Amino acid sequence: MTTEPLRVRRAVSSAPEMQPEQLRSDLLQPWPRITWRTTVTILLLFGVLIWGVNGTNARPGELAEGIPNILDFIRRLFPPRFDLIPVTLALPSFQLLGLTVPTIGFPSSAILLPEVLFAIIETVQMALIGSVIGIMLAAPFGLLAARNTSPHPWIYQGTRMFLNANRALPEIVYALIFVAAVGLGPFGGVLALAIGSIGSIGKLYAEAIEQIDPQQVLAVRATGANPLLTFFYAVIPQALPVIASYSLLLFEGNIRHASILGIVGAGGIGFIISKYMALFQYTRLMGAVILMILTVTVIDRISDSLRKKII
Amino acid sequence: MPLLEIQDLSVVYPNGTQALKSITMHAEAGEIVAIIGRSGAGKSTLLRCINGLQATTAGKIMLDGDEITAASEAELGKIRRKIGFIWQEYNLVERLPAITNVLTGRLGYNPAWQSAFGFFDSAQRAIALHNLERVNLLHRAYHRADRLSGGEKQRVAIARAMSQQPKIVLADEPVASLDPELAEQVMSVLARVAREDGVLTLINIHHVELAKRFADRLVGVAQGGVVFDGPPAALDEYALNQIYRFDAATLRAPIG
Repeated sequence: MTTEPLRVRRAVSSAPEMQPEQLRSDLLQPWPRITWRTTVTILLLFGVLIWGVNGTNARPGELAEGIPNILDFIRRLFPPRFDLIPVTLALPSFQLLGLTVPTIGFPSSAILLPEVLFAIIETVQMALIGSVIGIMLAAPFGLLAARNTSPHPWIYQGTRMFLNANRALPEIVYALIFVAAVGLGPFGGVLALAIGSIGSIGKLYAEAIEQIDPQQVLAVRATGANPLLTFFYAVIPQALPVIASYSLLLFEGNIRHASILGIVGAGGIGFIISKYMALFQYTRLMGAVILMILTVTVIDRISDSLRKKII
Repeated sequence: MPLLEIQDLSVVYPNGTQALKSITMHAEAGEIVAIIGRSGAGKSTLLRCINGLQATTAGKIMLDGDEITAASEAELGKIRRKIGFIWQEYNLVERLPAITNVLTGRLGYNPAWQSAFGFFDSAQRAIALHNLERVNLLHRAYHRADRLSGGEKQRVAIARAMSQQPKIVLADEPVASLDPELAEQVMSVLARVAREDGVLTLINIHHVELAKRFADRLVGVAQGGVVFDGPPAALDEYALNQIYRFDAATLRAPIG
């Protein structure tokens, strides 16, 4: 950990030195000053936009022609269909440490639940485990990538480069790799989410640690506390609310990411959605989508209220 | 009718604390009034009531013919144009240059759609320029607020408040964050511009000596009530005890 407590401020803005008379007349101009730099920036931005529009063949005409197809597709999504299956309200007996745990619940009664619900639950489980592993992997990288806690500028630079490289690939690419490595199913998805989380959350952790007030760290150091204890007593308490909040956001994001990984065979609702698409079962697709939206909404609400409690 | 008329003003916070107890005071245009008292006496609450930031429990405040205690949020917006506020921590928009901070004092007057594009006509800009010049900061016009020193920031804040061309300026501990030298300088700038414009100015201030030097009138607040109201010369030992040492007996008991 470096002892340098204060972040280097940007160089003082180059306020023009003018004669008072010139300054007065300049200040009386009704429009804000437009410098050549602003003009060039605006022109460049327009140039980039035009370049993008040209490259993507974005034409309003084609969108207008496509509207009937879009409407037809939306029509075929309705009415949403839920395939219900009976679910026994009981946990079957299982072996634990050589003992047989008896059946818990009501083996004789069953309720009807949508079949896709189980795929959604699997998706949430994937996101949960993937996020937790991702957070554990990302935490050390966050420390190394924060200027004020990194042991050495080279380690800081190197960690930043690694995090950026990791972030360059989306979760679905990691899923392709891990499905090839560990086979089809949710475990590949969990690994993809965990590895895919490092880059994004690690960088956010680093930002959170860099945002802390250095004066408080200085005060704890000044008591004679060693760097590790200073970290526990001055850095962590300040950064923790933001870190916890980012971690919840990661979990929410990973639910969305997890729902697409099934398309490449990494478990969850994505597999079912791609199956319905391929079989033109649009009403079942709509049913799955509605359940997915409900689940994500409920989890986002819970996560929101948790976040409010933390901050 | 006086410019500011406060009658039997009481504030009880939701947690039951009585912040202000039946305060009655009047002030005329052009007066500089220092409100002195200990921390927690109710000085800040009083100022916040006057510009409608604090809900009142009983009593009424009349400012320049408007009844603040009865005004709706929309009416308060109009009334607040007439009230300049100066904060202990300056509260400048740090990323904007000094001149733009001063121009925000004109936002209540410049047409909103023009302000949105950064357009202020030369008359509006002249007011801002005049006020920046009066606080001796013309040369800092294009400096970003976060590059200014504490004393300069508070002078920009004074220029911002004066650019509203207010009827009344409320200053809440304007010099508490400054060293004695700068405190003196900022107080003299504030008193000078207030006198030049004949604006009623209420200043919450801890520092009794500064209050006596720059104010025409002192109002002592203790435990939510006014316990002294008079010219600086009338502030004697008895009055100071009333304002600052009303609990001295209990403080001294364990020692003596």
